[in-house]
Amino acid sequence: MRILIAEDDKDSQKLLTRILEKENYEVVIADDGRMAWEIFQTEDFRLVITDWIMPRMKGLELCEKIRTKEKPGYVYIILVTSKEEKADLVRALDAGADDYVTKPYDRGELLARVRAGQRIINLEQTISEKNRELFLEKEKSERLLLSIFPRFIADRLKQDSSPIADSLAEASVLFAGINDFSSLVAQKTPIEVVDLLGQVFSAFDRLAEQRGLEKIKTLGDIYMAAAGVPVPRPDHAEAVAELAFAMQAEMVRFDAGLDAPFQLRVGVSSGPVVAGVIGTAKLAYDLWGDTVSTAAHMEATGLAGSIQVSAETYQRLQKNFVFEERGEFYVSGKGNIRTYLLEGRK
Amino acid sequence: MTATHDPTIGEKIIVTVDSDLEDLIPGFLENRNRDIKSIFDALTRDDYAAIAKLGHTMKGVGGGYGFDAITDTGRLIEQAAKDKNPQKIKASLNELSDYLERIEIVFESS
Repeated sequence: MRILIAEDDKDSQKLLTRILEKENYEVVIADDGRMAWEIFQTEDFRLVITDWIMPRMKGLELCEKIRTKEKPGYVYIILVTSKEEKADLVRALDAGADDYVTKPYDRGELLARVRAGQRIINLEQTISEKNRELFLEKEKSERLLLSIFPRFIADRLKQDSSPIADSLAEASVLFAGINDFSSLVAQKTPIEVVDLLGQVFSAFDRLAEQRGLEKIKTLGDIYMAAAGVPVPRPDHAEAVAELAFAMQAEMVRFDAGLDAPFQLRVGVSSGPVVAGVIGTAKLAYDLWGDTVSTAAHMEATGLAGSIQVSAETYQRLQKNFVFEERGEFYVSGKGNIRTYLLEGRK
Repeated sequence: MTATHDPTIGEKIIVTVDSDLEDLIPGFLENRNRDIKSIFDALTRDDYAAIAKLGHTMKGVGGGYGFDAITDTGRLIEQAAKDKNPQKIKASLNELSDYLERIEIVFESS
């Protein structure tokens, strides 16, 4: 350990240096308080031994300055003095000294007090290290939390763990499924299948994040994302359309190493949704409502390599995008619904 | 570290000092002789502040090297300077001078 000594008397300097260096401490000498302060500001010292009466800056002032200096790590200060009145000792401790020794000092006592200081410093370093580890763990937990929930929702869950259910008037929901996935991967091992899906969904995650959309979940080979949740945005339909285009383009590039390439069926619908987190175990952020079920239906009845949208989405996008009307489909519980294929931008 | 102060004039005074400090002792003793001269000089100027400071330093450093008598003398000189008592200062200096003449140092490992 490095020790800074502020002492103007040369014989005392030599004595302190000899005693401490014999115990393998590294000693740096300052001839007065001002020099000690200048050295302290530019180098790392955790233990300072300072005389009380010195030219240019007294030991008390040096103590006070060290205590006001913002530096990482605690600095243990021992005041060396021949002053013995209680009032002086109180002043020393109030100025920031941790301990004192009186002159002429006893070698054994001085070393014992230095060792006591070293224990305090070691304890402080241990605590700092533990705090750093805690901080890193907290960051890790935070990253994990944010990989599961949108930040807006994660912050709310931290404040209050009761269920979240937000009603949002306008959102767009996308489902994307890999066409004929089960047949295509029939010859693959489960690990290979999971790896392939992992590659595809990781690419979709990246595309969604780039466009500020929320990935909601995956279910088998189905990928679900949404725009306008948890925070509303007026261009939710456009955002989902752009994601759909990007996903289709990604599938064209993707080499699954199979006899046939992957093709994506994409389904989109727009409208009100309920979004939130429910339950007490295995929490997840999810969406509910007619818009969600319609989007799922758009995907299920969609065409490989195409983007099928509901009438609600068509109405929101028809001004700036090109569509081909596909026709009507009967959906149980909803009756006939008109669907459109999103072809491109105008 | 111990000092045996024999008051009989001329007789050696044995002082036991930590052998770790052996190479520092000549310089330390030379500085004490210098202090004696400085204090005598200060007396001619009635500079009691300077004398008190030198006495204070002597008081603080003597015992650390193993010379408790130097600490004691330093204390006396510092007080005498604060009292502006030149006779006491001179008496202490003479005693110190005699002491430094008579000491025989024995170095021992601590």
